[in-house]
Amino acid sequence: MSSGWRRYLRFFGPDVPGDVDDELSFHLDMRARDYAERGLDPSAARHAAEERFGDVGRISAALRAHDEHLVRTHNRRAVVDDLRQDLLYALRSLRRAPAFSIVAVLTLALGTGANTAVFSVVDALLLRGLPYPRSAELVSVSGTTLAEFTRIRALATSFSDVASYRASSVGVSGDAEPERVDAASVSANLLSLIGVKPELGRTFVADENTQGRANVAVLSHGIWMRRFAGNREILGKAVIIEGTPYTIVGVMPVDFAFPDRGVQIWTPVETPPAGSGAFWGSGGYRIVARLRDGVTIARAQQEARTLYARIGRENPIWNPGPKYGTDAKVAALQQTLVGSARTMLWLLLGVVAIVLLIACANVANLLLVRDSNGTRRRSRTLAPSAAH
Amino acid sequence: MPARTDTGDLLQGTLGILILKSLLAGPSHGYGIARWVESTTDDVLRIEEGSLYPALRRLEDRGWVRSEWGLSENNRRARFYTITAAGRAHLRTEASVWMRYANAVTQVLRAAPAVS
Repeated sequence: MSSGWRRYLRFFGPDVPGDVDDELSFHLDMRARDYAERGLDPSAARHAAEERFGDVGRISAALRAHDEHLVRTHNRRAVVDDLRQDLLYALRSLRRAPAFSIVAVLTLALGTGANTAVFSVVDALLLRGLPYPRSAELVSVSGTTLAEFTRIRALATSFSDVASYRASSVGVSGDAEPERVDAASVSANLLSLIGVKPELGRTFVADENTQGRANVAVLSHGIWMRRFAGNREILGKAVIIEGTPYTIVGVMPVDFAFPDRGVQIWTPVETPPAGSGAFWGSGGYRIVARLRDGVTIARAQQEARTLYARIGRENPIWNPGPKYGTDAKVAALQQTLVGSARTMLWLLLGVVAIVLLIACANVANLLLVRDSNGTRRRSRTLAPSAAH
Repeated sequence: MPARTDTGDLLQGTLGILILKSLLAGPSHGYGIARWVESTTDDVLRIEEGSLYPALRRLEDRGWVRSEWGLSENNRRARFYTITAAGRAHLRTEASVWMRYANAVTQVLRAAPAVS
């Protein structure tokens, strides 16, 4: 490499090996030239110069190691110095203009705060899985009646278990002030399908969906603490729901929620007789299932559509028509629960991101305005000192 | 050819003193220092010239010399060393120690009976 080219590279930092080579070869060349002037032929002169110098390789390596260490320490120190200077400068200018600092900090804080708030919601609802064991296996299946649920549960091979629930609002009374709370009417296997163990007592057993056995209830941790003061002797006691006494059999843990945070009481649905109009006709139920190992959502959906064609033919009450069940869907439960909020949430995240950008632009504008004022002031104060 | 001491006899500190002393006359590159030592000692102290450079680095690390790149008398890029104020002060102290030591040894050697 020519030394002229190296001078350009030097712009990006010292060229340690090149410099060491330059210094040592200069010495050897000069010594060889002196020997040659005294009458030695060039190669002998070169040889003599190297002999007199000693071990060129060793010395050059030692010098490189030394210089590189020096450059590294120097660079490190320069970075730290710059950083400290910038920080001190920032602090000084913040203190000099408190009003400006407060406005800038507030603007950025609002922008950042909005983003953090929305992002934590997006994170909880969209990015993290549902808070249930192996929640990736949980799917929702199309269907609204108990007949559809019962038949899917009996026939489908894609699922390890299928459950159903219907959200409602019930009046609770008897033990304290009457109040209205959100509740869910569920198939007996729902809570065990979700896979969360109760904190106290048990969840429902299979025959509690049958008529006359269904007057049992599982409480949420919230209502247990609030209405029953966390009393551990609550099991076996009665709670009056819609005027009917239900025996409390269990309490769910504090962070459990299904299908949403509002639901305080779970009761088993009382299944009507298999051939009845209520069985085939009363809707409002949702079906949730756990996929068997290795079964994909697409395969489960295909099976569900086949089964629905059969269920349509089985219907003793009316003929639902040839299109019945052809658009049946199986989808990840998380998608179904979050539902339309999904688009809204992403939209909201985009909006607050733009708000943050605008906040940044505003602060930048403030800085520009302030800086142009400052420049004028500075140029006045600097003018006299420019004289000498 | 005059008798010469071996390079190994030259203690590192001594080499440092020689370099600083040579730089009192003005900035010089490594080869210039070697030539100066060679001519002022009539080639008695023949140093292994390569060892000059690590010694120069040590002096620079201690702040006794500083260096910068410049052009040599034959227009080549060369690194020039300059003695600093701290270097001069160090040289003064070391030189007086050396003088006293040399005087003491000389006195001993001159004392009767004569060595040869």
